[in-house]
Amino acid sequence: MRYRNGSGLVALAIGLVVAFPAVAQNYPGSNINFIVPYPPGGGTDIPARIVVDKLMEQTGWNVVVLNQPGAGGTIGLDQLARSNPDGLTIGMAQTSNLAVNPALNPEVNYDPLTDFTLLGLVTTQPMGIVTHNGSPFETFQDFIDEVRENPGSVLFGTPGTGTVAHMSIERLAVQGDLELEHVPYTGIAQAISDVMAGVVDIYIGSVPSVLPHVTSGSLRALAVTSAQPDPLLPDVPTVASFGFEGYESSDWKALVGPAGMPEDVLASLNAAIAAAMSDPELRSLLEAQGSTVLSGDPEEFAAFLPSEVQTWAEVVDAIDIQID
Amino acid sequence: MTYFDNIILGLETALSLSNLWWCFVGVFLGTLLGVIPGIGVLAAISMLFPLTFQLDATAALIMLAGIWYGTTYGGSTAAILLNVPGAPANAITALDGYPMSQQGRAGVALFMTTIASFFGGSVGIILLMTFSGVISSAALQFSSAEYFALMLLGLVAASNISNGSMLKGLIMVCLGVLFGIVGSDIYTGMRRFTFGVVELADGIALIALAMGLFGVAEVIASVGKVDVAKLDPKSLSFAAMKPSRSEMRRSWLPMIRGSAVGSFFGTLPGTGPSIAAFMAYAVEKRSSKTPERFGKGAIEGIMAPESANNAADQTSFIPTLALGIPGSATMALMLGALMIHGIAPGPQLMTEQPSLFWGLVMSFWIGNILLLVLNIPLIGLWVRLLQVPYQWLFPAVLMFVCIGTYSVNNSWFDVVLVALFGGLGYTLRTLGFPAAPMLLGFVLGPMMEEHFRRAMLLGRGDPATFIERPISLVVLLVTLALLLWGVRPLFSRHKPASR
Repeated sequence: MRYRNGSGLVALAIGLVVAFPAVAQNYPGSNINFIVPYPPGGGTDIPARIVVDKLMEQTGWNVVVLNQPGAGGTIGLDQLARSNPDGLTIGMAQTSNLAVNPALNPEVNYDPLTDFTLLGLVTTQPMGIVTHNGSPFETFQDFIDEVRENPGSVLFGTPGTGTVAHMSIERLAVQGDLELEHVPYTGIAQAISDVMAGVVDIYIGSVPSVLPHVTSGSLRALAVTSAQPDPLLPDVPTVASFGFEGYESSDWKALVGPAGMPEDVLASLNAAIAAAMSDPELRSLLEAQGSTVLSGDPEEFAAFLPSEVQTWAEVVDAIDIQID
Repeated sequence: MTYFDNIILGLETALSLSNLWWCFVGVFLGTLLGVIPGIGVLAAISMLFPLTFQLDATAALIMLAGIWYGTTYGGSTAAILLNVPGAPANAITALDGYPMSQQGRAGVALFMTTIASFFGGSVGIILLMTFSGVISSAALQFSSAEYFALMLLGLVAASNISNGSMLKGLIMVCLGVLFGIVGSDIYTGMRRFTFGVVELADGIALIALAMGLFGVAEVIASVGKVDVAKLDPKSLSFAAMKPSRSEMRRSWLPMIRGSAVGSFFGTLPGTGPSIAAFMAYAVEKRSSKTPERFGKGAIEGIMAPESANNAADQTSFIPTLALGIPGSATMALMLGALMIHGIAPGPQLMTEQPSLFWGLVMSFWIGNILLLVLNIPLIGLWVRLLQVPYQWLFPAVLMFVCIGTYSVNNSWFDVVLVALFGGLGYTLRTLGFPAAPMLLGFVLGPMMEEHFRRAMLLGRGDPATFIERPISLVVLLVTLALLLWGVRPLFSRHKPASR
């Protein structure tokens, strides 16, 4: 087919001229793609959409959420790492795909410390360790005592192999030299149902996922994995307080971009993120998800990530499992 | 508050102008997307999920739920008319629906499936309204041993869903199981048969397999067909939708049994409308005095699965709303819509948010009635689809299959898979291998593995766990009885057939 009146060519030419010098001065100058490496409606998607909504409202930018799920969130994050660092592709990463999976899974091609521009931590959530209401374990100590006395006697449910919850338990086992019988599930539905029925003795999952059942009395919370008690379960002690010194494990979410983003672009993004994260409405929306809201400060994130990556790598080494 | 007060409260909420509007939007989009082959409910809800930000929680849930049960209503349309199911849950409906359509009775089939859908949906809603508490605590008694036993029963019961060679059927079940094994081993995280393809880490997408096997294969098989079904204008009238007396008579029991089977599978997390439809069909064929009519346009073969999948749609809200335990990816999305508005799903939902819960439940009635009045007049329009020449219709079907498959995971790899399964499906079809048992194996196989291994873990390696747990034992005994019943002819053959 020929361009009968040349309008196609003209449009193409205009397109090229407009597209090229876009980024620098008037960032973003076009849609920003926001990659969420998990399905819509999930635990990463919801905070991501809340943040994106606020960013758009405050800056007038057009940010498009793209859900790119698969392989435990590593497919979408890999795509993000390989995208053009022009500030037009950013996204949401979390403990599992940014810190745990690179150590656990040799198929992951990105390096969490060099392949990303760290924009800022958004939220953090501890995990809750729970048992059913008829369980003989009244406290976390009862459970630890039982495992010490009869190694391997306690069945421990998690939402899946290689999840942050599972790795947190492995970390507990490594640190306390405990022998636990791991029973992985595929998501929370049947796992919660089984721990309520007492089929598994103990379950670990995000605090919001167990909280309703703790409140209703069908589950008993034994401990939380954060360093400080969680505001949602203020009376539940931390794992660290039972002699697991320095134990802390959380499911955090963070904004990242590909490595090598230009300074000026980064400056506009950081300013926008800082403004969004200090907005009271955004904070209360994120808190309603059961999260502790963080600052979105890039330096805080840069200081936090290396030790986090190292800690999980050590756990993976110690338990000698690998996904391949 | 009494039961009656709750119903009034629910009606007040559901009948507010805005909620009524979102209910209509939900069921309308649902039917439409359901009719379009390939765009399944998960894709539809994922695409519309961002919209729920702008709505209040009740309206958001009413709309998403409308899409959910609306797609199941619409999903049978393409299955019956084109032999291309709108969603995996409707695949089984094509077995008898398409032959009916070929016999010129598409109107009857579409009319009756609408009735079956409404009936199944109603049974599901009544159960949801009345017995949520009882059912959800009963569902807690189902652990992996019970699931395994049930899946085994399902596989044995459904081993005869396709006509023709038993051996070919079994081969296809095994092939389905093999495809189901691809992906990460859930107990060790080990990748199995992924050949380094990271997109296969989560296994083969159900939508890709189902749409390739049923949708694309059908399109390939139709290439070269030039004859367009000549439609008698009379076949579009209401009179042409009226089933014969004997069909009406034969529809009641399948509808009731289908609703029962569907309601049961809907309440169990992890199973859902697809398994429900398969099982309902299997039950019908097993209990029929004339099983040889199945696969050739038996009305029971469409009534049972279509009432089952709609009943399952409604009862799957029981664990979701009564316990906050989402049984499927779609149900998790519904809870996500609640959480976005700061409402924590869980056992307190019914008491803390009564207007939301009862409003939603009453909106199901409104939605089901809307679907009934929406669908029956549309039947004439859908039947006209048959007049569209194949060269126009099937490329469109292919396009929608690709869009639908792509949008579940935003993955081009799934689109490639659809094409591969389309080729495989066509090849198998020309060789006379039935596709339905393969889908069954693909769905049930991995679940059986998951639950068998977990039951063994929970039983600490002792297989006695399967017979020590009473529900599991009963189900296994039923399975055994069914197996013995199946081989009975082998033993009675050498006796003379004297009467």
